[in-house]
Parts: sequence; C-alpha cells; structure tokens
Amino acid sequence: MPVTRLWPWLFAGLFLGGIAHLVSILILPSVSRQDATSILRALGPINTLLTLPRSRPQASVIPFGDPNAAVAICPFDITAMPLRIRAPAGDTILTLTFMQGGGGIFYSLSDKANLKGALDVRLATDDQLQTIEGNDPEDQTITELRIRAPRATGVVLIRAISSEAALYPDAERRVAAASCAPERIQ
Amino acid sequence: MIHIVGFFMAIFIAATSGLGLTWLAVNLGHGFDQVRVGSWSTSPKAGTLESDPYSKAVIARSGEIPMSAGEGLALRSDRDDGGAPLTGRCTYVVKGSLPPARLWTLTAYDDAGAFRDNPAHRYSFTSSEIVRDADGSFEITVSPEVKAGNWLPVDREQSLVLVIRLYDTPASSSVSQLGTQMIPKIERKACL
Repeated sequence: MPVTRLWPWLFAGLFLGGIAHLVSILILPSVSRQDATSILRALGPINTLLTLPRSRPQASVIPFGDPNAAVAICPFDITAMPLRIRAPAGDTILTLTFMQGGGGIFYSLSDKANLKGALDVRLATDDQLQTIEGNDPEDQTITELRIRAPRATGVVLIRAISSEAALYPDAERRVAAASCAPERIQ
Repeated sequence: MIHIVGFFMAIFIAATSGLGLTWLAVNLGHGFDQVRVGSWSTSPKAGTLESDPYSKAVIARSGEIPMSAGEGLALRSDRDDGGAPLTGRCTYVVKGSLPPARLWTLTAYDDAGAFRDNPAHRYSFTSSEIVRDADGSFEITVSPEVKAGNWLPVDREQSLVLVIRLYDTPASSSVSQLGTQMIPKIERKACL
C-alpha cells in the first residue's frame, strides 16, 4: 500500500517541525523589531536624554506602561567610552532600567540604591570597567554605581512614579533633571 | 512519485506544525516562570536575561517592558475570582490588601496594553490616592458606570486587564511565598 509508505515522511515532517519551532523561538528575540529596545532606540539620538510625552489613551509608546510614570530614555552606544547617568535626589520614586540591544533587561534599580541622595551610575563594557578599576585611587571610596553592559548598545529607561495625579509634574521634572552623557575614562 | 509526495508532505507538516506552535506560544503563551496567586499572575524574571526562551520570545513580540526585581513586582489579571474573563461590561470590586511597598498602582488596560479614555480621565489608582478601611484594606470598584468611593472607570466596549505594580517591595524577592490572603480578590458584580 503506497499510503503506509508515507508514514516515515509524516514522522520526518513532525520531527523537522519540532526543530523549526525551537529554532524560531530562539532566534525571535534577535530578529524582532517590535521589542521595547528597538522601539525606544528608534525615537532619539544616541547617548542623549530624551523625555517622552505622557502616555495617553491609545497613544502609548510601550504597551502596559504605568500611566503614573514620567519616562525619559537614553539610547546608548558605549563602544567608544562609558556612559554616565545621573539623577538628582527627590521625593518621587525613580527607577533605572537597563536594556540591551536585541532585548533583555540586564540591570534595574530604584533610587533606594542612591548614594548621597542622588543616583550616579557609570555604564561600561567589561574592558572599560577593568581600565576604570585599574585607575581607582586606593585611598578613596567609590561613590558611583558601576554597571557592566553585556553588549555595547541598548537603552536606559529613567522613570519617576508620581504618587498622586496632581504630583505628575514633579515626576516629569525629576526625569527631566536626569542626565546621560558619554564620559572619557580619566 | 510517492517519495516526491512524501517529501512535500514532510516540508508542509514541518512548516505548519513548527511555525504554528511558535505562533501559538508567542501570541497565547507566557514564560515558564509565571507564578499564579489567586486570580493574579506574576513573572518576576520576565524581560530579564535570566528568563526562559519562551518568555523572551513573548516579550520580544509584545514590546512590553516588564517590571524587574530591582524596581518591584507586577501582578496581572484578566480573570475574575470565578475564572471568567474580565470585560468592560461588568462591574468588579477589587478588595483586600497588598504586601508592603513604597508605592503601588492599579491600572486598567485593554488586552493590547492600552488604556481607554473616559470622562473622568482616570486610568489608574495609586496607594496614596485611595480611601482605605480602618484595618488598612481597600476596595476599588472597576466599572463602566459611575460608582461611589474608589471608582476606576472603564470603557464598556473594552477587553480588560488589571495590573498592580508594587514599587520597592520585599515581595519581589519572595514571590513563591505570596499567598492569596496577601493579594486582593476580584469579585464580579452586575454586568450590562
């Protein structure tokens, strides 16, 4: 019967289907252009702080965003030199989210992790961090937070969460007062 | 001849079953680290480099930025306590209490993650804005019709997803210990 001779092809098809499924799941994050990092990196220039407009009904840049959050982004490329991110102290909750190119949050913190009331973060590659640490004076305490970026490109999200609707302008001022700029290793 | 038919059949089966499974996993699924507590679910690792490949694929397609442990914990629900899908046509009472946090917010979205306009221009409540009972518990009424107290308006035509975000909470490092008594219930009341 010729039909029974199709069985091996059927199993071969299902086996190949399983492989196609696993491969497509694994490569999807690196080829997707709909991920948050790709969307945010397309919005503004590299290594510059950009405050985003307030999320409005049906006009949010990112789905499932918190409408109480004032948001600024800093698309980065630290191939040439590390990035310095600073945010002054304030009453509003402030969070930093570090996302790498190709997707994936590699670090996040809130202003609970502040040093002397303000957030002072240096984002660097592995090699840059080694140089920075090699240059550290021995008798001085480090007052900055150093974060290793697994990849040289990505985006930093700076968000301030207003505790009441009337305080939203304070949250907006808080993110607008943040800064992000490339900084040469001293 | 039979081998040619077989070959094309195998390619067809491989493409439809393999890519079909991927489509289902990405559009209807979630990662493996999802924890369910009552009507709510949370995926503490979603969006991070430590999340599983399925979770990564889902996030890469949805464009969301999940809340990660350094910021706090997010709880999401699209079902009431009876297991029925949430809808803008019904009134729900979200009541109970939450683990300690510096601030929490409750936001109503449609299933695409957008919020709908309403005459009150309210899409969210924060822990500082709500009126509470003497024991610290709260009751928020999610409804397309005007309600007294903490009223979160929704569009009657919308699908409904509720998200609670706990900012700076110790609960983000002990998700497995979250009990149903520590998070709010979602009770369905009248429907239009």
